[in-house]
Amino acid sequence: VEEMARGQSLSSFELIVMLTIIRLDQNAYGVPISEEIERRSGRKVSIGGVYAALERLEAKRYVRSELGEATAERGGRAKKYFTVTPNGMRVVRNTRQVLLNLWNGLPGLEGGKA
Amino acid sequence: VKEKQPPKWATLLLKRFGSSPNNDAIIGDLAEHFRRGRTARWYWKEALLAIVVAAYNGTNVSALRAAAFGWGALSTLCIALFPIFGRCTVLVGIAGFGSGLVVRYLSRRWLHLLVFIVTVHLYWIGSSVASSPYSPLVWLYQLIGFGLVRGALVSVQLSIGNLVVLSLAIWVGAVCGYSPSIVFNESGSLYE
Repeated sequence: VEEMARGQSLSSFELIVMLTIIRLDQNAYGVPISEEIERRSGRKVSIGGVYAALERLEAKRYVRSELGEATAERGGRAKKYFTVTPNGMRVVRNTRQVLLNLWNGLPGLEGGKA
Repeated sequence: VKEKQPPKWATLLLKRFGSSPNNDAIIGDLAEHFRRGRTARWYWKEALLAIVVAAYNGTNVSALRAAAFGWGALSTLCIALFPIFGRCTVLVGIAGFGSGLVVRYLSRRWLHLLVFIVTVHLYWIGSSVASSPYSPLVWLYQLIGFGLVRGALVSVQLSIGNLVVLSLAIWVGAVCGYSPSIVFNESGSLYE
């Protein structure tokens, strides 16, 4: 909560990307990240948009990246794997807590129809 | 069985104009998606989007300030010269400005000079086959719209065809177009 107050908050898409990276664990590179987001959120995402969010998150030091193996399927280009840093994990937990706090006391939004 | 190849031109465009630090990974991801069954149309759309999104993502205050400076300098020049030399000077200056912006995307320094020279000389090659140095611009007016042709002809009649001034205009325009690129480099924020 304090970190959010200090301006270290996440946009909704950045939060989605970070949660997806956590979910994919060791296999978090561009293709599965975009596929997983499309599958779970039901919305189309562009590869460029995903990388733009990843670059912002990396600049904030919430994620880090390392180059992986190059494959023929990728035209010989290396994969870039992303992992959430401890600082990033803290921000995700804080964001969750803030959202839960805001959700509490709004029974009209819990399940069912609005 | 021949392997399905991603659209070559889209890849080339992304390679040349994609400014994301992860450009290589993006190209690899697009190729992987494509070989898993995405269409060429999807590939083109994603490649163009990646170029636009990366440019937008990397834009910062100093880059915008530099662009404003470039356009400001060019506008001042155009406004100053317009009453004397007509709209031909203005258009030549804008052509130079465009070439200045384009060269930023070329990685080799000797190519920068080459593009400037080609831009200047394309105009003069055009003018050499026409009766007036302003004729290529009259053709351009004709392409843009018939309504502008009369204004162009008036401009040709009133102007003295000062080749030196037009050359100067294109070079000043090119420098103005290139100046934002210099600031991009100094800040190191948009390009590596």
